[in-house]
Amino acid sequence: MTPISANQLFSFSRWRLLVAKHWIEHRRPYLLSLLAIGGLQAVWFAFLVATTDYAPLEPFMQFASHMIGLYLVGCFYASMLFAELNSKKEALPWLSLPASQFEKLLCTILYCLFSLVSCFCCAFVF
Amino acid sequence: MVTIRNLHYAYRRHPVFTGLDLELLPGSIYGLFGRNGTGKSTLLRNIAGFLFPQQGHIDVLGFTPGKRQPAFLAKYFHVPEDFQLPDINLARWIHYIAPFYPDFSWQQFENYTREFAIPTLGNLRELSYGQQKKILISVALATNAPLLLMDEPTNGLDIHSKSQFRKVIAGAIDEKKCILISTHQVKDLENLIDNITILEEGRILFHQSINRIAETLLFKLSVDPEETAQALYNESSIKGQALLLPNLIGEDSRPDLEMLYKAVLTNGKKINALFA
Repeated sequence: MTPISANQLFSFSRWRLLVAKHWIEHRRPYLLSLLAIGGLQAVWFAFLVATTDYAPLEPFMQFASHMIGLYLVGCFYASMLFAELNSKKEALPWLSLPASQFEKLLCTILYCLFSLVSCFCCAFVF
Repeated sequence: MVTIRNLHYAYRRHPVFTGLDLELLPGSIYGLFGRNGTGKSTLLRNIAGFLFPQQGHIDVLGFTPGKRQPAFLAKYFHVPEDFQLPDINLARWIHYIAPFYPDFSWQQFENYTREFAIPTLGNLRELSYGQQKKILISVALATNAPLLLMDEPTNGLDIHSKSQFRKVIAGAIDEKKCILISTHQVKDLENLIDNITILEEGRILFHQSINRIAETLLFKLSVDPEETAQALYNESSIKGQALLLPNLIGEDSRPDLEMLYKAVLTNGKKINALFA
């Protein structure tokens, strides 16, 4: 593994380690919740299609479903990601991990924004 | 290694420290004792940078802990009383955590896991609390961080593991390291620590080395009522009265930490006067 850089604000190698560590520790809940999101979307669209006599969905309905779903799932993921700080048991190891606060924030943003949006969109499209 | 000057800290309206001063030197194992709620864990969290002093200053290896710079975080390891290990297996967790600590030794980690007889297979959360604690202690020692902060490390360990803990810690200390152990289990640290720090009402009530204690105080059993009357502290035992006396003639005795702790709490002024 790459040695830790002396840079105290941001080091790419340290951030990469942090992202990898976060993924390996949290991949199970992420994957399960993505499956749940996909399932909920499928149920919701099946319901919509069934109530409109199997006609194609209107673009507005698709757009509204996408945006409201993304907002709700985003809230859920953000609370899940920052929940670590709410529990002393999890917060102390997280705070004492040798990475800067900026790197930890960027790691959370990566999972909360980019990964979530791309995964949600993939689930929406399929 | 750790210098605390005039530390003030309060939880809302409840003051914990009001002008605490403390100096911890490398090459020592410090036992931090005190009643419930006297601020042992709060002190550890101030040193670790989890909490910020409201007044005063803390210096740890030239860093201000509250800034939580990565270079500082890599120089200490905190073993909390309550913790939660991730939901993965041990080898994988260590693989991802070790690179954050530049002096992490895989060889040492393997030795500690063997010493503690920790199962290396299976999910971490499936292990018992005691086994998880032994893993955390092994990781802490294998990081080779100069400063180790341990909050009730022997809680949850069985009798055999407690003696292994003492053995492992005694083997891990060197002239560059400092270990601060906060505990209620005074007996668990007997023959391990070389300095005693007792906290009471937000200040350091007693802070001395074991050598100095052995030179200054005499621990003995006696049935002599005259000797009992002169004791700084005494308690009944099956073999007579266990006494704590001033060591006026340089007699050798083995300090009984539990007795010393109780004596300092009941007769602190007189005992501290002997060390002045």
